[in-house]
Amino acid sequence: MNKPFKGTKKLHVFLICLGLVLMGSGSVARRFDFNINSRYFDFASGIGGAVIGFSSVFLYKLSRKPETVEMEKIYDNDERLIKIREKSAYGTFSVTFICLLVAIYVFLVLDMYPALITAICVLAAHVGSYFVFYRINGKKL
Amino acid sequence: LKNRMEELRKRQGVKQEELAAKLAVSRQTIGSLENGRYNPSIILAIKIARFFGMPVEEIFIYEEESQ
Repeated sequence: MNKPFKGTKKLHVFLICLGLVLMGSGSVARRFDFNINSRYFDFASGIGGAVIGFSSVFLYKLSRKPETVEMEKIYDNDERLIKIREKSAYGTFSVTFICLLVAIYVFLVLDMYPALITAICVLAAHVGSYFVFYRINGKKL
Repeated sequence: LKNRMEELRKRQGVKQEELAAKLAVSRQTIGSLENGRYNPSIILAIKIARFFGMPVEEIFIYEEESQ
């Protein structure tokens, strides 16, 4: 492994330790019931978890064998797999669209107006982003 | 779109894995191409033709759909 990666590896090991401390602080505060709002410790635990997740992925990427990296590159650029991913993404878009419509109907029936407005906004963002990407990709291709 | 990939590959004694590595695609893609489940892009078709040292139209045969 070359020198620049060595430093990066140390940084991510340090970040994992920091994440563990942050996560631990939340549990300790809860256990001993300090006179501090528990929300801050929950937030710290959440941040700690996120830092651990991010650094673990980075360390995994640094530790991969060159053959694995090459194979992943092929799988990323394989045109058939790209087509499969595009079709899957379109399928997911349709399912999310239907789920949001169902959610809007349920919230309307149950008179849950804040949730209804949120669901309508999410649906609008979902459909709007489709047309934005359609336009962007239409200009590119 | 029919193709003669399997026939040509076997004639040259090349494994699917080897062909996949040469073309920088996955082995599953070679399988799908040979079975006719997937039609390649022009770029991949040209790469395949160059690998076998033949013109594209001798490997990939386009048949118009019967009405």
